[in-house]
Amino acid sequence: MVQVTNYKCPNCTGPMHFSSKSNKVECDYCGSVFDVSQVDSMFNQKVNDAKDEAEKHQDDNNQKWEETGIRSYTCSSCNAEIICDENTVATSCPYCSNPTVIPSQFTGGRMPEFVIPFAFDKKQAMQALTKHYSKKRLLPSVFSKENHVEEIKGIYVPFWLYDGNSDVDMSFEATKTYVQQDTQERKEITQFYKVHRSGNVPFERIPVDASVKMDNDLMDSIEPFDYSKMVDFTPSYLPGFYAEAYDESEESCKPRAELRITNSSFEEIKSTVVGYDSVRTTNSSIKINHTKVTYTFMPVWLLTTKWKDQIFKFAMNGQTGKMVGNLPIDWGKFWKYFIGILLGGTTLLTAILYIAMGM
Amino acid sequence: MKNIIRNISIALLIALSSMPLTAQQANRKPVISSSGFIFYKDLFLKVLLIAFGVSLLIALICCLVMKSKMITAKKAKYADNYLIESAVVITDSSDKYSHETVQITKLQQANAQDLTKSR
Repeated sequence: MVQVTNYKCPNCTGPMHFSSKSNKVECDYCGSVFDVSQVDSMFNQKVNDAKDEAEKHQDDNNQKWEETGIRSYTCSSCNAEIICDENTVATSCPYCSNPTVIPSQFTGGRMPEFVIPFAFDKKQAMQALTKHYSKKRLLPSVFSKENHVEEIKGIYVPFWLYDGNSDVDMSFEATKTYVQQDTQERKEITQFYKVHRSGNVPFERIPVDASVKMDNDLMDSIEPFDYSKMVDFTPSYLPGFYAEAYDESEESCKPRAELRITNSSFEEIKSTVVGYDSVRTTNSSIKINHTKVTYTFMPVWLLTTKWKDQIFKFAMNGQTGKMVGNLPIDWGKFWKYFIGILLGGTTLLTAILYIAMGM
Repeated sequence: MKNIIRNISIALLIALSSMPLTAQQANRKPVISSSGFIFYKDLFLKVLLIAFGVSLLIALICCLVMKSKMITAKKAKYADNYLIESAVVITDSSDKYSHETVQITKLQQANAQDLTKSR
């Protein structure tokens, strides 16, 4: 069975985790703090050994696991069997709770190039959810009271970042309208123009999540990420969090990036047609050239709540703190507000207008 | 929904423009007069109609804004955040005059006549 790597404190052998506050790896027990580079040098050999071992047994393992989608590993700390999903990269041992990284998942070109480390912890994610509920007038009153967070997970979600540019060709019909008026008549003159624009629109690092399990709308909505804080990937950022390897290839995710490139390219080129009263697109074509695709881990807090047998999922950008997730609507409240505003407004406006016009 | 709001707005504007908006313009015959208060039924009904329409529009907009705040997970349609604006290159640009239309409205006649010419 393939072994996993536990990040144990060299001082007390306690489990270590990456701290979003200090941006360092900390021991849960003795409180020792290590730089990521120090942890890298301590555990690199272990990670590489586990990778080599996995590569040797890759064929056997693939045959066994291909059908089930489940994989089993041996915890290097307590020797227990860890059963997890075939894409799991980092998890924790269910027996000894030690944060666990599975180096075999980095074989075959599946090592991310970059990672954005977590900047928010679990407590801050909970606070963000409470804030997300506030000032939502249509939220059922009992929702925030009755509902309990079923699960909260800090996950490094796999993303493809697409670089490229688009060659755009567009034609428009544009108009200019002006009015001439004298005592006899009023002339409204509309001049029509045929406008053409071609151009090249470059893009950089358009993120698309590469996990089937992740809700695409949630992942799209937690954008943007601050790429200036992106660092070279090392497994030392993973202890204490969950991580998934990609299960959607860069090819299958490409259409999502291309749709966004197309829409933005057309808008950008259209914005160069200025000086007209109206602009209508008559023809458009685009050719997208992908120059680079980067495999990256992005930090996401996933929160799941249950209310009235319905599951509500929320996601928080682990770097910026942006929280998203659809909330239930109390339609009774909706109509109360609607009728209240309608009746109140009618009464008030009638009084004001009647007095103003009757004078 | 945007169309509903637009249609209500247009209907309101038409109603407003076609109504006598002052007591002088309206049929100024008091219907109820008690304790010094003069009530013009004609004017009151017109004012009530306008107020109802405007309030309907306000209520609709307010409730739709509240509803939109409940939905925060949406598919991304644009990549504007990732566009390198400084590197956008326009390789070909042309603006060619095609034709013009002239709409003439006679101001002296009561029934304005619209003439449309194409040149």
